[in-house]
Amino acid sequence: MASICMYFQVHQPLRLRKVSLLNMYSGQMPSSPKDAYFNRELNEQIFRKVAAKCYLPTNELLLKLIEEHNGDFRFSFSLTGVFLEQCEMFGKDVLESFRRLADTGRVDFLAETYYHSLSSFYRDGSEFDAQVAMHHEAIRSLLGVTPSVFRNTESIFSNEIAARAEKLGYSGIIAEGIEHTLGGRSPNYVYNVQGCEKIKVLMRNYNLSDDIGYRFSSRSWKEWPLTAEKYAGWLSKCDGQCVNVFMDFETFGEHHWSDTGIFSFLRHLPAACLAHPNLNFRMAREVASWDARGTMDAPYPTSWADMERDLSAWLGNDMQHACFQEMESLGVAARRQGGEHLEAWRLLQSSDHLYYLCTKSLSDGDVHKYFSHYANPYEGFINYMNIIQDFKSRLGGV
Amino acid sequence: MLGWEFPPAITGGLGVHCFELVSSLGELGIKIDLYLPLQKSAPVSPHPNVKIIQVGGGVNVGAYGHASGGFASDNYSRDLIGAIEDFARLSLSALKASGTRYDLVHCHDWLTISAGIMAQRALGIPLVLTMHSTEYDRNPVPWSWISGIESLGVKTADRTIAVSGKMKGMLVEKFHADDGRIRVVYNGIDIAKYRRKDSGIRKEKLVLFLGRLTHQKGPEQFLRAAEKVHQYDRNARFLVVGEGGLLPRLISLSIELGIADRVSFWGFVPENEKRSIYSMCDVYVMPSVSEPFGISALEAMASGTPCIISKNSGVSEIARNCLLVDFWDIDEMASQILALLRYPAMSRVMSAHEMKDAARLGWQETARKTIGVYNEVLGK
Repeated sequence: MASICMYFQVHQPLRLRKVSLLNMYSGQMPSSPKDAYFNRELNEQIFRKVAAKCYLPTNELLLKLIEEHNGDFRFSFSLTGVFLEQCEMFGKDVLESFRRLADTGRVDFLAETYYHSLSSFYRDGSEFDAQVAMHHEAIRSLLGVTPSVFRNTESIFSNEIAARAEKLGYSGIIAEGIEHTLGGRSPNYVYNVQGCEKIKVLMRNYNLSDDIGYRFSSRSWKEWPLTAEKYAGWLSKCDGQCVNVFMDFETFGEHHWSDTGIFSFLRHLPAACLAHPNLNFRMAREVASWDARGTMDAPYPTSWADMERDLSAWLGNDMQHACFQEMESLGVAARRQGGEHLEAWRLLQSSDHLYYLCTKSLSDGDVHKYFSHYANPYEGFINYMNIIQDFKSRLGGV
Repeated sequence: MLGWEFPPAITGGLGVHCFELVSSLGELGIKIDLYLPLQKSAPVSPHPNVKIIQVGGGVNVGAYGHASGGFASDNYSRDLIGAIEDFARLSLSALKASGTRYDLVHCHDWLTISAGIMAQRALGIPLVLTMHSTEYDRNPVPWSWISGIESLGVKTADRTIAVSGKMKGMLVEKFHADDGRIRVVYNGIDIAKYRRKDSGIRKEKLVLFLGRLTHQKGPEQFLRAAEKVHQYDRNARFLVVGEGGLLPRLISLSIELGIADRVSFWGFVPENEKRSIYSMCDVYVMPSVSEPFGISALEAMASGTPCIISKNSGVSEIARNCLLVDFWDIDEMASQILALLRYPAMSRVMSAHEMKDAARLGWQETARKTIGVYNEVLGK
C-alpha cells in the first residue's frame, strides 16, 4: 500500500522596480522604501494574470474533487508570506478560495520562512526563527491551520536545518529525494534525520513529480500525452509507504497552459488513483507521523532547484554572494530601526532576487530566464545591488 | 575569392574577416585564390592553400574608411568608383588568364560586387556574396548608386551570407531580398591573439570607446554618457581610440561638456597596441547607432573586458554575457558604466563568462558554416 502525498508550492515574488544609479544619485527616489523598491503595478498585473489562469480555477477544481471523493482525496499546500501579502493586496478572492479548501479539513498547510528567504544561512539564527514564527502565525490566523511540517525555502535541507525545524516544534520536513542523500534507498519511505531526535523527512520523488511539473506538456517526451490513468498506473507500481509528489502550484494553468490538458489530467487523477486498491491520498502531517524506515544524512544543503540540486541557483557566483552578504550585513541596522525599514529589508531577502542573477548556462539557465523579468542576470544584479545600496544609505550607511 | 582590404592595410571588419576566413578555410582544406587590388604594403598569404593575386597596377585603393567616412554623397571620390570598376575589369581578366577552373566565386560587400557578378556570368559559376554592412548602415543619407549595387548583388548572388540576423533583416527590408537565399554566419575571433584582462591596480578607472569616429559608431553618445558618469565618479577616465571625420566635433563636445580633462583622444592605434588597450580598460562601450556586426565587441570579450553593447548591433545577438543598451539611452548607458565601476563582483563574473563565450566563437566555426553555404550552391 502506497500513499500519495501531494504538495503544491505557492509563491509569487514581489518584483523590483528599476532603480538606476543615476536615479539614486540625483535623489529621485520615493521616501518610503517599499514604494521605492517594489513594482506594485507589475506585481498586481502578474498576480491577477496567474490568479485567473491558475489559482482560482485550480482551487475551484480541487474543492470539487475533495467533495466528490468524500475526503479520500487530500493534499498539502505551502503558501509563502510574500504570497499571502499579495493576496491581501491584490486578491482577496484568491485568499478566500484557499480558506474554503482549508475548511474542508482535507488540506494541510506547511510552515516555511515568511519571506521565502535564505535566512537559514545567516550567521545570526534569530532572523530565521523570527520569519518561521511570522509565517506560522499567518497560516494560523488566516487559514485556521496550525502547520506541523516544515518546508524550508526551495526545499533547502540539511541535518542542521532539520534540527532547527525540530527545535521549533515541527514533526516533519521536506527534502529533495536526490541520490547522494538517499544512497541507493527509495524516496518512498519516511526517514529520520541524522542528529535529530523525532523529526521525519519526506523525500520528494522527483521523477514522478517532474513528470507532471516539467514534462507533462512536452511533445518530445516519449510518454506524451500523459493521462491520469497512465500516471495512476505508475504510482500503483511504486514500492514503499508514500510517493511524495511535490511541485509548484503554477504547474496548473501557468507552466502548463489550460490547452495542454493539465486541468483534465488533474480532474481525473483522484478517481484514477483511487481505482487502484493499493493507493490512497495522505496529507504531509499524516505521513510525518509514521514510523521511519531509516536515517537520512545530509551534512551539506540540498535543494529542489536545477540539475545540481544544491545552492548554486542562488549562491553560485560572485554577484549572488555579494548581494547575499550585503543583505545579511544590513540586518542589525534594519532591526534596530524597525518599522518600514525592517519590513523592506525582509522583503528584499526573497531568494528570487538572487535566483535572477544566476549565470549557469544550458537548460537550467533557460529555466532561470523563464522565471525572470530581467533581460539577463547582469541587469538583475545591477538593479538589486543598486536597491541594496540605496537601502544601506537609508539605514545611515552601515 | 574577391576581397578589397587585407592586412596589413586594414581599416575595418572586412579586412580582418577576409584574413581570418581564408586562413581557416585554408586549414579546412579549401583551396582559395584571393584576388585583391594592388596594395602598397604587400599582403602575405596566411596558409599554403591560399594564393593571393594582386591585380591592377596603379589602382588607388580607397579603404573603407575613406569610402564611408563622410556624411554627404559628394564625399565619395571619383577615384574610388573608378577603382571599383577597374578592379572588376582587371580581376576578370586575371581570373580568365589564370586558366584555373573555379567551383565558385565569393565576394564581399559592394566594393567587389561588380567584380563578383562579372565573374559569375563570364565563368558560369555560382556566386556567394558576404554582406558585412550596407549603405544604410554607413550613411544617414544613403547614396543610391551604392545601395543599387548592393541590391543587385543580393538579387544576383546564389547565396548571400549575412554577418548577423540584423543584417539579414536589413537585406530583406531594404532590398526585398529573398530570405530563403540568405544565411547568417557570425564573425569569429581568434582568442589566442588577445591578452586576458590585467587586473593591475590603477588610480583611475578606464572606460573605452574604440572605433571609427563616425556618426554610425556613436562616439557622441559615449561622451554624453561620460559626462554623466563623471558627475558621480570623479575617478573615471574615458579613452576614445580611433580616427575619423568627427574628431574635431568630439573634441569641442568634450570641452562643452566640461570633461575635456577626463577624456583622452588616442587616435589610430596599431593592432598589438589595441590589444593591450582592451585588456587594461575596466569597461568597453560600443554605443553604435547601427552596427551590422561589431567585431571589436568580440575583441573586448576575448580580452575579458566587461562590455556594454548597443542593442542595434549584430554582435548583441550572440553576446549573452554583455550589458545591452539602446544607443540613444544616455542615462541607462551612464548607469551601466557606473555599475561596472562600482560593483567589482559583476565585472568579475561578466569577464569570465565573456571570455568563455569568445572561446566558442572561433573563426573555424565561421569557416565551417561558410563551407556549408558553398556546399549548398554546389548542390553537395
